Order: sequence, then C-alpha cells, then structure tokens
Amino acid sequence: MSTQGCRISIAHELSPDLALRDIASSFMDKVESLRCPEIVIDFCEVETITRSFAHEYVTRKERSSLRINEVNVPDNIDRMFKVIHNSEKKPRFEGLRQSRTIIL
Amino acid sequence: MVDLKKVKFLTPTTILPLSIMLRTERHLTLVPPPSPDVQNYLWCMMRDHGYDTLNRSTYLPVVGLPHDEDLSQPILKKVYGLAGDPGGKNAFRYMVGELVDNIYQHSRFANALIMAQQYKRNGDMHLCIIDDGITIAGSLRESGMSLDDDQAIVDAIEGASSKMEKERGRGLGTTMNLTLKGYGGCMLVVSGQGAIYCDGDNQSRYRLSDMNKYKGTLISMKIPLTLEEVDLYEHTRL
Repeated sequence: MSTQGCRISIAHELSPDLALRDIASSFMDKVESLRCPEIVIDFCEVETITRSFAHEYVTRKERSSLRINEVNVPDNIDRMFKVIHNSEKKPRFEGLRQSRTIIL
Repeated sequence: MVDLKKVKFLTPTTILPLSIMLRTERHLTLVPPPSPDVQNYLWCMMRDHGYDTLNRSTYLPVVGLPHDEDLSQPILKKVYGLAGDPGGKNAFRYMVGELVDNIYQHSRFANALIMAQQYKRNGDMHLCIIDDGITIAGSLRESGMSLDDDQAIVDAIEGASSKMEKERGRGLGTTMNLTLKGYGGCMLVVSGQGAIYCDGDNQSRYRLSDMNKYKGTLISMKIPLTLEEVDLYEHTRL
C-alpha cells in the first residue's frame, strides 16, 4: 500500500473510479493493518464512486477503532457520502408491483 | 444447434446469452445469420472476450469479468473508456459499477459478461450485463426468502437483499431509477423464470416458460447518448 506516513492516496492505491464493495472492504482491511492510530485518506484524483463502495467505506470507518480522516474529497464524492447518510427510503416501483404477470 | 438463419440484426441483449451458451455448451453448433455484415459483427463482438484487440468508439465487445475482483479494475476502466460516459461520468460509471458489483456480491457466476453498443443513428446506447449464476431468487432464497423468480426481481429492485444489513440492496433499484427517471431510458431484467421490463410509460412483469427461462441473470438497458449531465444524486437518494 502506497502511504506517506499514514496518508494514503486512494486513487493511486485503487482507481480513480471507486466501484466495488469488496474492493472497498479489502482496502479497509489494509488500512486497519497499518500501525497508525490516525490515518488520512486522500481522495485527490478520485473521479467517481458508487453507493456500494461509499457505503462499505463509511460502514467500515464507523466500526474502526482508528481515527480515519478524509482530505481532498471532490464535491461529487462528498455528495455520495451524504446520500449514504441521508437516504430517504427504499425505491418503490408501484406500477411494477401492481402489474399483472404475463406468462410467456 | 443454434439456428440464426432468420436473424437480420443482433443487439447486446441477444449476443450475451448466445455468447454464454456457446461458452458453456461447447457441443453446440451455430448456423450463422445470412448477412455477411451481421455475421462479421457477431464474430467481432464474440471473439475471445476481445477487448484488447478492439478499440472502436461505438462499441464495447463482449468482455468477461474475472473471478478475482482485484483484476476487474482495468476491465472497468476499459468499459468506461469505450462506452464514452453518456450522461456524464458520475451517472454512467455508477450504473456499470453497481451492476458489476451485484454480480460479484450475489451471483456466484462461472461466466459473467458485459457488452455495450452505441447506435448513433438512433441516438442511444445498449448496455447489457449477464451472468450464469444462481439467479436473483436463488440469492434471496439463501437468506430465507422464498419467492417466485418474477417476484424476486421486483423485491430486489425495491431493496430486498440476501445481505441482511441496513442500507444493503440499493444497487439494482437505484440503477433502475437512474435509467428510467434520470436518463429516460428503459431496462429489462431476466432472471430464472422471471422477467421485468420498464420504460417511461410501461412497467411489465413476466413469468417465463421452461423453454424461455434463463439460468442466470441478464440486465439490459437502453439509454440516450446524451451529452447532458444526468443528476446521479437526485435519483440515487433512495
């Protein structure tokens, strides 16, 4: 893992596009294995993030005994973290639920 | 035998199941489509997961997902690069990422493939992803939910997940919301003996006969080749 002290560039470590939940989980395993009480995750150069990646990252961070802080978080990535924290409800597709099943 | 004698046109939604079938049932022979152009297109798209050799701007040929997720990053990068991010990076890469993640999280696939084709004349793109895994109903069954295949698809879209944790199970529903309401596109999901099709005006569910069922899950989307940024957050705040 490429770290400077306890600062990790997540884009360099993984990809500018953070997509898969298990990749987030493996990344957090590596973060946890560092012998640093305080860790800085640098989001510089991150371009996109999925909800699944963001959710896994946030969940693991909340469960961690380490102090993990983010820096250089682009606005679009920050918005996805806010979506995770402020999700309103599960999606509903009433038309689909109520539609008659067609046998083919 | 797979007989394509009467086939005049092929889309990702038909090429991917065909590609899986030919990979898993190697004894099958293929009668190709009559048109040399359609034949060439078929061979070109299906050749050996050939993303290394093909680098055109209008399509992404059939690409296999590796079993090792760590190896999927360069493939995802290639998908993003070739597809051209209609609707902007945020929304397009979200959809691809969530669909690929669902396959790794739930399907237990032997084969998983992705393909995209731009139709510039129609102004749209077809994006299709397929696996030959345990189906959506099969995945939910593992956590104690026994559902018919069509009902399992509907429940998964509305947030049911085999991972019984809060905030799980949002990938398919948010992707569908984004496709329909964000892009104004349409989406087909086929899994086992169930299928759903949704576009702006129409939401339909189907129960497929034994002859028509698919042993795995196929998700196909048609989205406009819009240059306008689709608001990801508006449609994934679910």
